[in-house]
Amino acid sequence: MRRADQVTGIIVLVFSLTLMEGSRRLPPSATFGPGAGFLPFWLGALMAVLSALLLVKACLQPVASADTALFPNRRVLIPVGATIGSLAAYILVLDRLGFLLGTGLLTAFLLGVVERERWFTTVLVAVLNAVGLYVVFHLLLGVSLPKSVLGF
Amino acid sequence: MRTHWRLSVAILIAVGLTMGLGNVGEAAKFPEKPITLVVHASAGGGSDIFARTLAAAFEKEKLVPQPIVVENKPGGSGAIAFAYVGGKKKDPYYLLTAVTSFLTTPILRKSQVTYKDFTPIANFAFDEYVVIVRAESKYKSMKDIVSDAKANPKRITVGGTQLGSSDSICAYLIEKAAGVQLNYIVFNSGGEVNAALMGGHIDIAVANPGEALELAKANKVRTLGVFSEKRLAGAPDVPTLKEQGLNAVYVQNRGLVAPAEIPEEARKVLEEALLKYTKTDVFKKYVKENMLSEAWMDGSTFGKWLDGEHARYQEVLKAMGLLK
Amino acid sequence: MDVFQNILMGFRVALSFQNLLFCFVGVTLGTLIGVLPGIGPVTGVAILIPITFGLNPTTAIITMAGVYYGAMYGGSTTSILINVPGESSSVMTTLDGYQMARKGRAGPALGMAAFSSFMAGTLAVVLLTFIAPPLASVALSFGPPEYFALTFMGLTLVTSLSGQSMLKGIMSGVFGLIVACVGLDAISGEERFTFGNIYLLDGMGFIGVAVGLFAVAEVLVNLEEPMEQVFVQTALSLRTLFPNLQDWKDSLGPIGRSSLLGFFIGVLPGAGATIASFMSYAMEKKLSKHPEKFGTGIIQGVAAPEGANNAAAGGAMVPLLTLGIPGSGTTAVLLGALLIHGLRPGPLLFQNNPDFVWGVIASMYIGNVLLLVLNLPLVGIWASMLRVPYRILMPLIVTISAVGVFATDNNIFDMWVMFAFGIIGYLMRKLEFPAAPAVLGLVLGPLVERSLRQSLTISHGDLSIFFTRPISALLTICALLSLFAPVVRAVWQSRRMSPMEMKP
Repeated sequence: MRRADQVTGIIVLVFSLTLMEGSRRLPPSATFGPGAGFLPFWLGALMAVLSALLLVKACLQPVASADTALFPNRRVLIPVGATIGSLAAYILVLDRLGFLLGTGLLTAFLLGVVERERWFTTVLVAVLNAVGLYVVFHLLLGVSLPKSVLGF
Repeated sequence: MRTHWRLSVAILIAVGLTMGLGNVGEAAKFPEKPITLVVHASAGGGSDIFARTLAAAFEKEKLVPQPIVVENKPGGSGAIAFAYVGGKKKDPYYLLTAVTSFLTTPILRKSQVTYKDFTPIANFAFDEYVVIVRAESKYKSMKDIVSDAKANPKRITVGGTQLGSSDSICAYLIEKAAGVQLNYIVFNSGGEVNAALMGGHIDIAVANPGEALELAKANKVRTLGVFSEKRLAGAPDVPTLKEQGLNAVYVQNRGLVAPAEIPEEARKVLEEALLKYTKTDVFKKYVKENMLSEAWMDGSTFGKWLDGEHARYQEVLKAMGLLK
Repeated sequence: MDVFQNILMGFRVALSFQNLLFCFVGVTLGTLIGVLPGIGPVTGVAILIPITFGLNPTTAIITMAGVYYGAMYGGSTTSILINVPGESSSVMTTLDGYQMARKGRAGPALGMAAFSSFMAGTLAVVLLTFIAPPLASVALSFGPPEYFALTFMGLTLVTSLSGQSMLKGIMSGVFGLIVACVGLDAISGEERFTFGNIYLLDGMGFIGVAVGLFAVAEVLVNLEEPMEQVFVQTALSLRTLFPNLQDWKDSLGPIGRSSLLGFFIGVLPGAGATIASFMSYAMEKKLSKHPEKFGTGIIQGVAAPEGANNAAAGGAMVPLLTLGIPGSGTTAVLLGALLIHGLRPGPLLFQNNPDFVWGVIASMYIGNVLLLVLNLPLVGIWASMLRVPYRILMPLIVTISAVGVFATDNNIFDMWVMFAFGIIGYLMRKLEFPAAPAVLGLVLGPLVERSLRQSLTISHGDLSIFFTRPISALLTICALLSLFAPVVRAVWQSRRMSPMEMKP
């Protein structure tokens, strides 16, 4: 955690300073009392102090203390990355693929590729899941889910 | 492992195929599929209830052969809905609720999409506004407010929902007409404004007559004046602001618009169906319950009216210091 | 008029066949809507408005009110089973509910959620029946300074929600407050950190953030573990499905306290069920002899927020029925529905339409019983869902989260918010930052800021407004005590410790 906390401290510190800088474009006070820029600026300042504290605390920690790596097994990053990536792709093309196809494909990818499930189960669950969500959200509750250019 | 690769490839191909296909087919007789009525605000608000009442009446009276589907696109004081429907150029299957924010939001946000990017279809009614104070208030008339405001500038608090909204424009109109300065306090919703008024945390509020008169009947608030040209039919004993020497007149419209450049024939069909809607009992009841004023305008009249209002809002919002 | 006579009359109305049937329809639909993430009671009631056109007003409102409190029951289900908060008011239920499910105790968690909801819901209706009018006037005495003091006190609870490291807990809370700054500034209307994106004008969607931080992050974390170990499987029997005696002993106190707190917060027009659930959870943690056990899967952590959000739903009916003021998003829709049916809620409603008012109130007693009867058999079904291998559950969690978030406001941008906060939540988990304080900050931030600036605008910048009004003064002092008590205690304890024991 020591190294991780150091890195977090630095990143959050930079973020806080950026926030403070960005808040300066907003008026710090209104006719009476604080204005739009007041809270973001002081939150940024508070966050900067807190992240500096985290950084200092991490640096003071003895190096020898049992320091666990953030990702003890780097191979787990593959399924995590694949899940994040496929979710992003899903949101990106949902408008054009339509809800049914998009959701079916995402389910199939997560099950078949990430989880390595058998073909048959993958297809079955993908179809049932997409249709089931469609029936409940669209047909039953009238949510206008994204449609594909083909109209479903 | 191989099968998983094949599956990935299959998924990719399916994605590509669907996205490659374009729009096929031309419109025959309008409407041949359901019409989407986009509401620029959340479910349950004034515009949403207006839209759902309309959609239900259309279905019941069979005003068009296809159903009307209500879809809420709330956010950014309407900006999200305006961008959404504005982007459906030439598509007559979209309608959008248009109230004050339809004009004010693009002005305030300097959006790319303005009221010019839409086809006005019709206007139905006007929402009226009244000034209320709590029952125990020392203010008995607008005169009391004006003279107190002159003696204590920025001390009289007015509750409202957002700078640039109808209630803030009403407050500004009083300030301008009387040459005074009030202290505008922003709340989260009209309900919270009324609660704060009844609790004595603010001095005056601007409300729609429906809610105001109900609270007045229960002797919780007093109605001091209405922002209309003439007294309201439903409340003949409430004087107008004009009568009290304040030249402040304001209404909010309730209309519908469609995307720009829709086929003329589709526009006509919609306009006629909507005119028929204003003759239904559902509409009459809606207007009465909410104490609206009926104000039918067909597409071209509504368009001209919007031009005039747009210029007026631009001026008012600028004078309020909201345009930079 | 005698209250008992009135409520008897109400029961005569509510027990008619048609009203009973529609009450059942309402609570069933409400449970479903509550179970589904994203779709909340606001949408549920709005959908019903055109459908109930043909009904008489009493039946229509009985149905819609059923959806409202029914959703509060259902909201806990996905929170407990898969860490997906069904409604914003059930975010707190994920903390201990989901941990219980992982330990194989999904049944008792779901069961206690139902019982707690039932008891709090019923207590709320009792209070609504007997003391609605005086309560409404208490609610009116809450102005901006009082809201500031109350929400500020809520914010100080961040310290009690942090896990191992107080520092990281506070950082998480401040992060939530920063996220809450995005969007139009409520007071001045200026754009803050929107980068010209219209979807950011109203700020980051709360459901998107919460589902990302809890549900998506959880899925990502679980990918690192062997799938079989996510949920401990226990035999399904009556003994493992329902809360045991110890659970009951632990829960009764929290249910009672959180019902009262939730009801009162629900009555206030500016607060609501979400805040009520946060505050009751934090209050229970403060009162507990073993605060460190909160978050590890203890039954009090489920009973308290679930009781509070149901009581708040009942409380929100007080200002609606007595003053015509909606205390929450859902009651605002109910108000609209009443108008359509030609009833204008307000101080005169009790006088002019007593059969309507008392009919609806009586139906809420019945509805709560129906919900308990409906939900208890469901406990077994839901709990057995966790026997589906997590491998298969995982894609279902991801997709239902995504569609739920979309359905909140019908826009894809909210899915991106969920996506981004999914990754942020995952990193926070890895770095041992608790997520709950961030959500608390996000919920309370806008309220604190708004009421602070409202108060100062009213007082022309004079800070004494917070101390010269009795309720506000009392709450502000409580907030300051709550803020500094842990610091004082820490200093006190470290003084008493010998230098040898002190750690750097």
